Amino acid sequence: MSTTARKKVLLMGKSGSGKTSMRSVIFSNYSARDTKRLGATIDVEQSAVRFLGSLVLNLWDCGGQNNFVDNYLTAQKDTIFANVAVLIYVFDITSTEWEEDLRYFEDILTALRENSADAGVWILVNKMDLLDKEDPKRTRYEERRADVIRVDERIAQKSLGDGEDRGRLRCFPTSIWDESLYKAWSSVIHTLIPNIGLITSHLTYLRDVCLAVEAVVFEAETFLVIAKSGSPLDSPPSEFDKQENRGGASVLDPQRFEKISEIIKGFRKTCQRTGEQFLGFESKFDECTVVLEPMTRNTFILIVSVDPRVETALMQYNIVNAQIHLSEFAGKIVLDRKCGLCRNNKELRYDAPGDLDPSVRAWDDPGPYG
Amino acid sequence: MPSAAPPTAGEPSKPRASPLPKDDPLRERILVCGWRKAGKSSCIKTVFQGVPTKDVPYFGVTQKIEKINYDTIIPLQIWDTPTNFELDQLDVPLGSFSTIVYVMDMQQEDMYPEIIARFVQIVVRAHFANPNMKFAIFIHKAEAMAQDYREDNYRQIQQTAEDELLDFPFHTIQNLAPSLNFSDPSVTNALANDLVGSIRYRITSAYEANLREAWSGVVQGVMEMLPSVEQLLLNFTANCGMDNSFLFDIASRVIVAADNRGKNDETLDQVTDYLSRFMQFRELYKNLHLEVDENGPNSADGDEEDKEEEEEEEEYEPEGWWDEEDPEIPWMTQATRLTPNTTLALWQFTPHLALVVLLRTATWEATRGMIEYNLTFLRQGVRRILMEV
Repeated sequence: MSTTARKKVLLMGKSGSGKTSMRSVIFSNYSARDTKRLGATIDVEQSAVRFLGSLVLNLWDCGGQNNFVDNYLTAQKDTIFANVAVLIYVFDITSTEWEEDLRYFEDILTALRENSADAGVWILVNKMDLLDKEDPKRTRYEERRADVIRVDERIAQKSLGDGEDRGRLRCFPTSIWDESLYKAWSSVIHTLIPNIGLITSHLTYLRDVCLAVEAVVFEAETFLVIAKSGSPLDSPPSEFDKQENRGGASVLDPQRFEKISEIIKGFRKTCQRTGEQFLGFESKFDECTVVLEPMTRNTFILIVSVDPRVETALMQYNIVNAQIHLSEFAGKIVLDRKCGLCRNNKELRYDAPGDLDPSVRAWDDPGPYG
Repeated sequence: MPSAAPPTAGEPSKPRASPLPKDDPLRERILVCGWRKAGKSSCIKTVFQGVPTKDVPYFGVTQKIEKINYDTIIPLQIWDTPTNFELDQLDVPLGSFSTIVYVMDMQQEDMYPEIIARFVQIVVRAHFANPNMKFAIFIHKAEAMAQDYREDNYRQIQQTAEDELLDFPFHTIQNLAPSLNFSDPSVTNALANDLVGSIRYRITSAYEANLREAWSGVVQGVMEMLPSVEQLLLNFTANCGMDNSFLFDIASRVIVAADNRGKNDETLDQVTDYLSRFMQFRELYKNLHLEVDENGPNSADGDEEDKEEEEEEEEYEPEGWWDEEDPEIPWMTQATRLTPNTTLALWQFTPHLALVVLLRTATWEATRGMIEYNLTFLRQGVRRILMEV
């Protein structure tokens, strides 16, 4: 039995702010240089992106010229703003008509709240690279962010009181030239994935079995980070768990996953020229032992260990053993592999054959040596 | 020449300290000059000083001669020169350089004759200062040109330079070579042909792998031990059933030696990009290390036996080979699989050098043990050669 969750994602913002560019970099393997070729988006371009087998993003890339926007707010209002899971609104940091940009944003956010009150809103302030030379402290970004939050609060007050189910608004500075874009989009994707808690607990288990510092899952096409073991993504070092502290994870760059997305996607592009595709790697350097392997059909897993006893082959062996069970999360509501982690999870129905039979080994059974 | 031996192996991530005094005569000197705004500094900085290419448009004008010391398979000293540089401004004899790199802007098509005339002047003077001088023209800023135009311009530049040399009024520089009779056309023709043969032309762009390839030609040109290293690589590659092998300088990603079989641009691009991406990746995790656990023995004891058991089931990993040879140093290794059937693998040889090989995945899986066994000998061989030089 398979279910597919469809989520509607609106991509909006003024004309020329970079909506289609970022969509192309994230979903179509464009490099930042390639986006020069893109023209203006006419009306709405819809595309569907499948994630993890069970999640389909319906991406509505809405052309940002004023006459289109007026149309979205009037004639097409019900079609555009109904059943939205996420609105991604893109601002151009270099824009000289900020007041007008804000007014348009306010109209759109109002229309969104009327039709899909619980939709999450992501504000991406784009083209940060153009301003960083003259404004290294990013004061302009902070001002813009404050303005946007004020607009959001004003709309919340105007609407009929109960702001309880209002979707959150989050703001990210982005540039297609660095990893900040991946950061923002991972954050969008992360909230849309079902079973995220389950994926995390399994990753943590897998990490511990490998004596590793971290196990991280990436989506195969976009290489956006989906989940990691141990503490949640973007936790400060004070929230790291025991295994992370043991491996000294606090020295790691908090932006590393976005950088990995960028590195792997860049390398994949190079490989395209010789008609090849990236499949995975293993490596030892300094004190680290690292593997990056396909996990399920739609994901890659990265495991990093600093334990000198760990060899890459051990990690690969554990990954192979985890693959079948973890790929169940994609297509099924009812899992049918025996697994203690799943049994105690309330998010899903668990109906593993042989659950009560001690001779059937569970996925997380440490076995006779445990 | 003990100081030309590779710096002793140490933590490979430490910044490369120069083991040689600044103006050590043992450094191979390379003079980089060229027309104004041709991209001399970008040619040097993006390769040897790790400056990201996105900063290239912001480079200012070089004001004075800059000497860049760089230690790779051999120690180099690269001289970056300012816009209005003349050979007479050098504070060392012109003959102390082993190579002159002349950078020109491929996009300045209307200026080709003047740019090349100046180059030819330099070639002739430098030749009499050091008859073994090697010359390279970097036809730079090629990124703006389509492939067809690049080739047209390349041929045009090459032709112009040859014509200039053959027509060069050698009798005007009779004072540089009193022993030769420049009024005899057979003497000047032989000389001009000699010079034509000593020039290498390279299309380069700061945004493409061809710049590193061009530098690789320059570095290989001053490596006395190149034939021996190449022969070793060739033997290794052929005996292990590999497609190609490349010995890289890690930091600059310049190839210092290769097996030179069936090279093509795509492969070079691929291995160069492979190395640089992996080094970026390593940068993210290289500072990780095991914290000493204060609670006595490892808390993950339960998993330990499990792990050992699994390890026995797995193929034996011979990475330990050279760890035994030098237990202090964790040498990097890496293997990346590509579909349909290629594997890229990397082994670090010295703090500065790493071998990258390209082979069929099936070969890798079947003979990994043998490859890594042979590799230890190759690695020792390369290190021996470096120590002998």
